Amino acid sequence: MSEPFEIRDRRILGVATGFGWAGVLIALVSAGAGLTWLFEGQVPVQASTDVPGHGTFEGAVLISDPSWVLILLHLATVLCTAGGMLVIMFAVLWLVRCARRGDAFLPRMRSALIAVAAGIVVWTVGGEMLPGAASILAYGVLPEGFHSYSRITIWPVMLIVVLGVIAAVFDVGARLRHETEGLV
Amino acid sequence: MGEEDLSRLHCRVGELAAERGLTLTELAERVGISLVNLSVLKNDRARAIRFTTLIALCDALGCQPGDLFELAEQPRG
Repeated sequence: MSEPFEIRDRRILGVATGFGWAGVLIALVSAGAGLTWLFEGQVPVQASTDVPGHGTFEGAVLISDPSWVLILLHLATVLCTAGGMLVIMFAVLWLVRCARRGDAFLPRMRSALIAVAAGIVVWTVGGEMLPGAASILAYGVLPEGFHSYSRITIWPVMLIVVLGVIAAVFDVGARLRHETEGLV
Repeated sequence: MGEEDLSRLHCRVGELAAERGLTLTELAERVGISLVNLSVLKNDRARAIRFTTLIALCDALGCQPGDLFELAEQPRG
């Protein structure tokens, strides 16, 4: 009997599995690294500085003896970033597992895509919004010459729209699968 | 149509094959479908049949589509 999917698909799924587990590892390591700052009594806050003649540089400034608000924001940033990434990676690994078994268009796959979308939202909150809020709140304690820095990104919205379309396609596939089950 | 309605339909492929001295493996080869799918059909677990499969079965068994299936009486009440 031939394989349920082609060699090319197997390669893609192999890469996706590696990507998924690497993502899990990166999420855990980055969460650990982010929490380490708290044990040292510091929190990194994103900031920008203008260097005359060279432009604006963005980076992280370490704030010693941070306020509780900054500590909580940093903690939320670390947990949201790692949590969002873990949700995305485990959803991807589950989809890969289904594909390896030759199970396509299961109704539960829609739930996995919703989980990925939720993970992107949480990740964006942790990776973009909370650091921006922390930067604004830390304005008074930033070293001289540094400014608060926050940015707005639209790629998560675009990605969620794409995921919505894929979820709709999966719904059609799930219906087709149901209709052709038991067909000989 | 509910799942329970399908149980009323019986596929006589097993009986017809036996009458003609054909094993399911031989019949599957002649029809060009897998033994698994033929077993699904024989054990009344199929939910639908392609016209191509139906024609191939009729050709292999020398019968009409109507000979392949029988429908049990509708339960009263």
